Amino acid sequence: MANPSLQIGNDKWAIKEDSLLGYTELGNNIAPVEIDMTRASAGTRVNPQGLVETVELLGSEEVTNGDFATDTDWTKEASWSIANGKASYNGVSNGHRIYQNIPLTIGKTYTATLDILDSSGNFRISVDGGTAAYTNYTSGDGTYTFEFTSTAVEFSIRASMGYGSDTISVDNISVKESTKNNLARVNYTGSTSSLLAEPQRTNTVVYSSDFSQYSYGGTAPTLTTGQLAPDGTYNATKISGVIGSTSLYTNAESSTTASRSIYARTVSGTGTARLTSYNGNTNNLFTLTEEWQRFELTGSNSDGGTNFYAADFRGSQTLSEFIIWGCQSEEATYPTSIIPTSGSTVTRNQDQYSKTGISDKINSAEGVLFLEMAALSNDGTNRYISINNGGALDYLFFRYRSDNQFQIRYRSNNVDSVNQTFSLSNNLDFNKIALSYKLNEFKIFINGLQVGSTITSGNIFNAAVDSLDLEKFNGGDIFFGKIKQLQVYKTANIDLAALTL
Amino acid sequence: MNIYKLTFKDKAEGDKDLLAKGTYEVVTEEGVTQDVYTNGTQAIVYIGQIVEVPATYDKDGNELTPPIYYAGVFYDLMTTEEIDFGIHELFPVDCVHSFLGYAKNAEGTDIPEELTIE
Repeated sequence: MANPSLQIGNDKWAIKEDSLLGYTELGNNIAPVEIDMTRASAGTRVNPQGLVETVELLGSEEVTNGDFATDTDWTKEASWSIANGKASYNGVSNGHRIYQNIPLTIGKTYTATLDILDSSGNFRISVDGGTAAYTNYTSGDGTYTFEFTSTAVEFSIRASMGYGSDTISVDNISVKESTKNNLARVNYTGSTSSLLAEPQRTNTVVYSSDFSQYSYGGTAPTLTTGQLAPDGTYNATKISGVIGSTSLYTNAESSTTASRSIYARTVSGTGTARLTSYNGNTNNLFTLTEEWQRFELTGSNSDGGTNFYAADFRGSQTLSEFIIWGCQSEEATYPTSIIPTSGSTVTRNQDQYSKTGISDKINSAEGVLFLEMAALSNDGTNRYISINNGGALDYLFFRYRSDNQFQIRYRSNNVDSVNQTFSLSNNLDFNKIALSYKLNEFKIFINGLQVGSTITSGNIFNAAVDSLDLEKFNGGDIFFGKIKQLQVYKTANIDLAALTL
Repeated sequence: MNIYKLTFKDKAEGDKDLLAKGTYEVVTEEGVTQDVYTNGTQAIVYIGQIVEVPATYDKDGNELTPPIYYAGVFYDLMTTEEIDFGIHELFPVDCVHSFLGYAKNAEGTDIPEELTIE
């Protein structure tokens, strides 16, 4: 069988800023094809290790001698010394710094990691390239990660002790440029990977994981921070309450029609708890296990309207303590990936993908478009994937329709060669769907079976097509869903039954 | 990237002004209407009313006194374009909404990611 002229995914993913790397197989070699990607905000995913993370690209190491192997490269102000493979601060002269002229680029974002050693008592440090207000606190020995936007060319660490006798040492400093916007998200469910394309959403819960900011009702809950969280940090919180009395909530940060979600697990064993909404609702009793799960509540809530209840012990449930993280409320019919918040509502922008100018990858006379994909929801919207030329006369598309059916259309000079609408067994499952086209021969296959019979009359594109868009042929109706693989062939002589099996 | 903090008398006025300035267009297909971003718009977020004085609640979460809101409704707009919104543009120092990856109080033109305002 011929090789695809363009592929995306199939467990071969690569991303760079502003693009997802598709590819063409040339014998034993792979030639990259950059698919343009736009999302002018950060976004989160589940990585191959099963951890929730913000998708990020890190640049090369900016710091020289970050392990302090020698007493070089760093400029030391009073109270700082370098010896024994670390930089030490004796706490005598508060506010002095150790720094390195890298130079950083002012206005760019960096991620700094460092090890704190030998700390005693209270202290705070600031790691940034600017004027360094003491905004970043450490809380004892350990590895810390800070993000900052440089306002100076120097990378500086300043220490300010709570008490004059306190000391601190620093080692293994790393500073790398960080890019988070316009990055494709490859999401993992177990060992299964897929491209995740989501709509714009806002998390209206102002503190997604800082439960000290929440109000409580009834018997005060005990909040134990420092629990291992789904993102691999220790930012989850164990909540211990009294069944029949305790509630933990935020006021006016949700709605009666919002989609609510929260991550939760038990301390041990299995049990039930009411999460995300008022205890009087009937759709908020979830079964927790020792594994992290994301619990999602969709549909209207009859009681407790706009409050987001991280936990409400007042109804019937079995668990008096469990661990929670990552509250989210979205004014929409289904929840999307976690949008971390810390002091404000936060919006993740929509994902968009397109590629123009690939007439060498698309044969307008004959070919195949094959996708293995799933919808995020049956939400009454139109979501297209199209091959087109930017106009409205010649195009083909696959579409999740607003009526929750699926449509394939091939149009030549504003006349349908193919226009078939049918039901998939489940839009939310991954389905393998292919269309082959050539003059007077059009075939549709889904999951190994042909849909209908071969269409034996119909024209091919009248004007050449040269673009692949995860949206409608002339814009709008963006595809939001998951794609395991996409393939474009320049020949129709493909075994579609085998391809889609 | 430009982030604008905007206020209008009500949602109708805000939607009309944003439409007039070409930040989006309304498209209807087969009875389904959607707002399609145009001309460099990355996101339009309707924040709605913003609380000036929070409501008070009893121990069961029942509202005792209602919140007091600032006048008007509010939007955040992210765009690659520079747009003159005149009196509708605000420059707040403690914002209630942000974009993921940007500082909470980012606003104005040419905003880098994670700009920290001390």
